[in-house]
Amino acid sequence: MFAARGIAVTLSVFLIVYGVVSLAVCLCWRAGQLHSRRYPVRRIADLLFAMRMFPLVTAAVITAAFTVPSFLLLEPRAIDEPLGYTPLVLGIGGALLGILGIANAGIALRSAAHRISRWTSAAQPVGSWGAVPVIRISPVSAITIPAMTTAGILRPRVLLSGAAESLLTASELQAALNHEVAHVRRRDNLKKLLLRLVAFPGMRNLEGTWLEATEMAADDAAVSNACEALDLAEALIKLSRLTPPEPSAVLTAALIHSPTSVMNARIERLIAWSDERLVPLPRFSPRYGLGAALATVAVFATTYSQLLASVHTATEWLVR
Amino acid sequence: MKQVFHFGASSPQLGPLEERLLEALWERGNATVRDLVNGACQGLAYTTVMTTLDRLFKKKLLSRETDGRAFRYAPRFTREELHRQVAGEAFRQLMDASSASSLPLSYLVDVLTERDEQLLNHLHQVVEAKRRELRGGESRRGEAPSKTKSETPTKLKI
Repeated sequence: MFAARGIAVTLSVFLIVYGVVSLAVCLCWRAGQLHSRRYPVRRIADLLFAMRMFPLVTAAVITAAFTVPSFLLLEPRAIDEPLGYTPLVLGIGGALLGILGIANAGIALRSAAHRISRWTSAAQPVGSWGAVPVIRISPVSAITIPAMTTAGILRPRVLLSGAAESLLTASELQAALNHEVAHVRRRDNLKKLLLRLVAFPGMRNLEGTWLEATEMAADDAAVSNACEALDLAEALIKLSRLTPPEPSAVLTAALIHSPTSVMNARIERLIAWSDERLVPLPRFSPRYGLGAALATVAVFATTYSQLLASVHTATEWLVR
Repeated sequence: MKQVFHFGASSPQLGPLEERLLEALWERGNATVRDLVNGACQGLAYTTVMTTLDRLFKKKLLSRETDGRAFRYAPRFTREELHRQVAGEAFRQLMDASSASSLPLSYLVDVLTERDEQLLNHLHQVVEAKRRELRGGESRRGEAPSKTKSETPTKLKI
């Protein structure tokens, strides 16, 4: 019963923290995005992703660092306390949340693997670009293939259709490949998989905005001057004519994707390229990070026992 | 908008004057007849504005409340809301216009594709103009172009 109670309390706290923080993120992410408008788009993309993952990280840290130790250290094992209705329901909710997240990610992985295997059934490796393998794909029977996309999580590859390769000029193809390599370097497909784990209603807009920002961040990383920006813009225009924009297949990063309004915004952004976008992001000294970590450890070291006691009181209230 | 605009059972259409007054009210938020006659609708007779506003009120496009001895009118919908309703109504009419329901949708897809194509053409022209501008800037400075761009598709060594 002690173990069952511990698991129920742990899952309940996880669910409560996850739900409350997710709700807060749902309500506040727009404000965060507005405040970050002056930053480069890649930083905005990172911020949006961090906001999206914040509920999971916070819930996991609070559960692992406080709830579990407080229960193990302060809950008397000898008392055979019955498992209350509230922690039981919340615990089941927490377990379902985890199961749903894992199932969602598993389904996405399976669907992506299936789709990629269909696309690459008649594929030919053509070399590598920026240390990323490039594979030429060709349509087989009635399967629609993307003009260019990045697929794979652990071993990402750029899939390039023969039509796109023949349609683009050398400089346009180079810019387009740079865009896909930027997705690989930023591990965007892995991030998409992580988003599948942390489902929460009402986060669709945040995820959509993050997707737009990742595409624009990859555009920025792919070009280094106005000429290259125009090459990439021209590549987007040509490939948009080739294949009507569709949503990127699950866990892939297609160069051409819907909605069309985002494609147009990307093209217009590239046309209005400014060298100011090349300004490197201010890097924080590792000393600041180390200082913050040491300060956090010191604070927790001095107040940890009190915190555990407070958390235990809260969980006791939850059990009763 | 006025050609497809049907509101409620009476299905009235928006005339040019009604559109003008509606625009003026969207700009101001709310107004009395006197405000409009003295402001955005100068040159129109007081009674004309009053009658038109009353017509818009009866079409349920405006709300009104008493302000002294006059009425103060305000739009019941934002411009975007009204456009959305108009578009929705137009699509409904389009769908109802044919017994084969897929046909109107295919017209719609055709129109959207046409518009996309026009937009892409426009963007292509902007890219070309920008390229010319860049080349012009470089040649004025007497510099070699930063990149030689081949206009025909070329194989890239990957």
